[in-house]
Amino acid sequence: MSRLKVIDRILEGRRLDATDALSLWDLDVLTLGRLADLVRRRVHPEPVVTYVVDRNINYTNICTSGCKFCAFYRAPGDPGGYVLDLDSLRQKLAETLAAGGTGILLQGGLNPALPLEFYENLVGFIRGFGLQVHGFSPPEISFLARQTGLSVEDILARLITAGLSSIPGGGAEILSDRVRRAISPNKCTAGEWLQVMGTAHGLGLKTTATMMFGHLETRAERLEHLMRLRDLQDRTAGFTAFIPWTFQPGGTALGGKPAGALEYLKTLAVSRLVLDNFPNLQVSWVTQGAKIAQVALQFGANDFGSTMLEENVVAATGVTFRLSREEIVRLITAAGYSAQQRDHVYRLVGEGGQGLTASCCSSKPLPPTSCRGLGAGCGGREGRSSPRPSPHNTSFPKVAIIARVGAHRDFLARGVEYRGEQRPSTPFGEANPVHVFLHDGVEFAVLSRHGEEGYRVSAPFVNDRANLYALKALGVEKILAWCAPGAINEAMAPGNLVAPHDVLDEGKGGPHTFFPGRGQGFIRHNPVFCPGLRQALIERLADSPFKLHTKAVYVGTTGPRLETPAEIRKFAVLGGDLVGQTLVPEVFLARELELCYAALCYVVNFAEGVKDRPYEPGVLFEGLATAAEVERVREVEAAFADIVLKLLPELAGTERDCPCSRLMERYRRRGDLGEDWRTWFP
Amino acid sequence: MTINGCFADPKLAPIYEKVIRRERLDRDDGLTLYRSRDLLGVGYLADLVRRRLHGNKAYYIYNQHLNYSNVCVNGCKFCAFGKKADEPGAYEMTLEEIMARIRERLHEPISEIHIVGGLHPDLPFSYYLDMLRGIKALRPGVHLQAFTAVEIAHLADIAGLSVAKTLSALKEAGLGSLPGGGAEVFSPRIRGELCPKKLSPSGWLAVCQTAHRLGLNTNATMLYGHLETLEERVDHLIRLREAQDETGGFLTFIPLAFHPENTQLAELSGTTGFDDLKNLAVARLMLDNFPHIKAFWIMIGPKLAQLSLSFGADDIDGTVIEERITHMAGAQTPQGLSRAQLLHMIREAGCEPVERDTLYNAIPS
Repeated sequence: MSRLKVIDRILEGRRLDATDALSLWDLDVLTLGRLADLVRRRVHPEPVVTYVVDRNINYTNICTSGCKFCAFYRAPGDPGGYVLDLDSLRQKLAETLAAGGTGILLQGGLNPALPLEFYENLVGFIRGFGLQVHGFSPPEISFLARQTGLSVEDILARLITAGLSSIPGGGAEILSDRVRRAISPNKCTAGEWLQVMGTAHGLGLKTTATMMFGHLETRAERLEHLMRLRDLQDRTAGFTAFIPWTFQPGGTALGGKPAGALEYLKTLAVSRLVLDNFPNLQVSWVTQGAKIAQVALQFGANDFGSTMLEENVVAATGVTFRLSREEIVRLITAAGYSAQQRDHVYRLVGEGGQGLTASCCSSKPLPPTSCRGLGAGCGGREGRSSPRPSPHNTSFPKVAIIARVGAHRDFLARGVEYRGEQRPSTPFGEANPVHVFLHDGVEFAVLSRHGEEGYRVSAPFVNDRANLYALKALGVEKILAWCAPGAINEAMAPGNLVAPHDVLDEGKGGPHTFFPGRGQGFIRHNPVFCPGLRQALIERLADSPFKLHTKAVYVGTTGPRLETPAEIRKFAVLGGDLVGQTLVPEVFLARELELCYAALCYVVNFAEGVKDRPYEPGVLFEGLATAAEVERVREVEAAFADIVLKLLPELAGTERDCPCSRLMERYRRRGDLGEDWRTWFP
Repeated sequence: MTINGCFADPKLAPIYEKVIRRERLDRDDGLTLYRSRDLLGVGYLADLVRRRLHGNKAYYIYNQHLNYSNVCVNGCKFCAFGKKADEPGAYEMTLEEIMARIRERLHEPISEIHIVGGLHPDLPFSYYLDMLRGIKALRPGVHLQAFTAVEIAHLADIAGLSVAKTLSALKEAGLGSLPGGGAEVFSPRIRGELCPKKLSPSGWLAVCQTAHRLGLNTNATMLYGHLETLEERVDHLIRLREAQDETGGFLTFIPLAFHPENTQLAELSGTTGFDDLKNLAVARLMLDNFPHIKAFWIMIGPKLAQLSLSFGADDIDGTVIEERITHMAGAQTPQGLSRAQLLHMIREAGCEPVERDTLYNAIPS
């Protein structure tokens, strides 16, 4: 193949075979770069360069692999070995969140002292901070499988259940067994590496792929590496990005001199040209430094990699480039591109997130994960001790009640059959416990919004996303929110029931979407509350001893403080009937998860200034409610469980012919969101 | 099909035509090149010119740097090296100390001593003459590239002589050529802001042109990456090109990347790889009458210097030991590269290394 022929093939957009690819190395660096840039612009016409804010956490440096190119590891028993302790981990995670991070790149040595539960707990712990876990390269997975006697698929399924979001492409080195025998004889073989990745892709995990070059390998062996990756990608489309980097000889057994910038840039360009089915190519500023990394954006790369708040492995060779997020953005911008933050699966974060996602990631939708039912949400955090229903009594609750403190005790007190407590782990932090009951053949779940004792979690600090995620993970489809607002509308007296039909969001509180910065969630809210559920509860409560108002505008405020007189006057002018701190953003979040959601309110007081009430220090509402009103409220509260049990057949029996179950349909059709909702949150 | 004339930035196509026809590029062309996002396209154009002039050759030199004093009356805002005489860290080498530095490296095959310092208010003109004579006595064959145009003007003041007479006296004492420092950016706006006390652009060019007329070659520099605009960069290059048309004594153009650390402009960011490469490439294209473009590896790092050989540069300086000016401004590059490292770097870039003397004569290995 002459050099002109290979250029022709590239210009014509045809796939390169091994012979073509080998002849690429005969081209001068500028021609090669310009060809790679041409292909980069075909794949990503927009002048955008992405980067991720994350932290590298190496949970242990103890490793049995003993690779000759590594200056980071310690053999078991050697001085200087460590396993990261929980306090340090917590500190690192908090710092990552503070830096605007979306995830953790979690990797470590092959440490025989750590059981599988260690890894599961680690993942659950990190997910509890709302961070993605891009963790465990194939050698680690392979090692875990050997250690435990489980299959790679089982290990991956366990880790996915624990919350693993994606797999980093490390440990690929050169996917040629000749090279691997020479530099890392104890590490998984090329075939094993590819098998782990293929299995991960089959389970719905996205992964990256790396190549460490510039040691013993030939250029033909680099191409073998690229071809093997391209073949697997043809079958699975599970690779998000390719990241080539140069071997750093400092402090390693292999030694030698590092490949220069020219060789790096040429290899990067060849990779862009050969890996025609890889959506993204990442620069390696850690090994190349800021200047060459920036220039690499013209050699086929479209991603600047990670801010890497901490990097230990390359640093152990004495190469310590450091870049802040601001510096990364400056470098990207100075090269004439627009810089956009992404997460670990290459979805954009922040403003303008809608456009690029589809072209950034592979167009093939995520296959559903292998976990079913409870398994998807359960486990991880609490380790083995968390109660899980055994397979034979798993008819999952379709209905959930989100209610006041300790609401489940009302059902326990009435002797309703108790099916146990669930604490599903969620990508959004810790959910409150979910109590499952069975009444007249209907299973239902009860969750106390503000905690189960006292009023531990005041309104602005309720983790609505975790609570709703947990319920959805249990199989819940319909939610009845029980809440206790104040009345702006004088007709709605304390002790009355109200089924609000609309919402005025006057809150400034916490996370109000499941899709921050991702573009999804731009959805219509009319009717705000599920019409089917509302209809059911209005009909069923027609003969209730408590007066029922069937229309009301609920004004959501932030709390925990009560409103000022002026605020209440404002809300009245705006048409508000009730004011409270619980339904917003809960209702909107529930709708993002396509849950049917309706609220049943019981008025607990007149809102500030509606009635002239003297200030009474030391009592609930400080005098806003009279003793007679409090008494009527107590009656309704006492009837809570009866009201729910009365509504239950109606709630459970309602057909879901409302729009609620397809609220995110547009994003499904667009390919932004998969059919399986669990794949929506990495 | 080829991609030679196909540019990601179509604005480069007319410039490509001019380069092929060997036409001089104008100010607008310079701006188009600087503003282009197509770094590789600009690099390709510069590479055409570079190959036309030097083929595959990449020059390097085995030299010794000597910064005899950092005491300086100028106080330029972009400088981390200069100190007032009474400031901590201020130093001046005695002639004995200088000779000791020369002696300790007499066993090395050094072909050039590169001498630059501050504008010292008190050292007499004889100090400079004795310095050159003393070094020549120790190393008779060595080429002395010493004293920027700014220093020369200062020495003329101290000596009470004209620039021409000052240069003649120094030449007689052993001066071989002038380094290119002190040009900064010629824009009066920039000089008023950053280095108001420094020799004016016309003064700087006059010293160089006087040197040329006396048979002394000089280099030229541009300090970029601080407050200057792209227009000011292009104007700087065009002014150098015009001076070169007149006297023809400039050997090499050396863009100097501004290093903000420890300067009065520390709030600025350093230059990026794009900027460094673009600047070399634009210089190669605009300075059609300059024989050489140097990528000073100590300024931009060995990795970028290697790449610069594809972006218009034909010279990557040399094995620099004890370079102080840039390192005081926070340059992260190593203090010296061995000859083996240098040769590897050049060969990996696909070039043929040529060790040169100051005047670009090849030194047989």
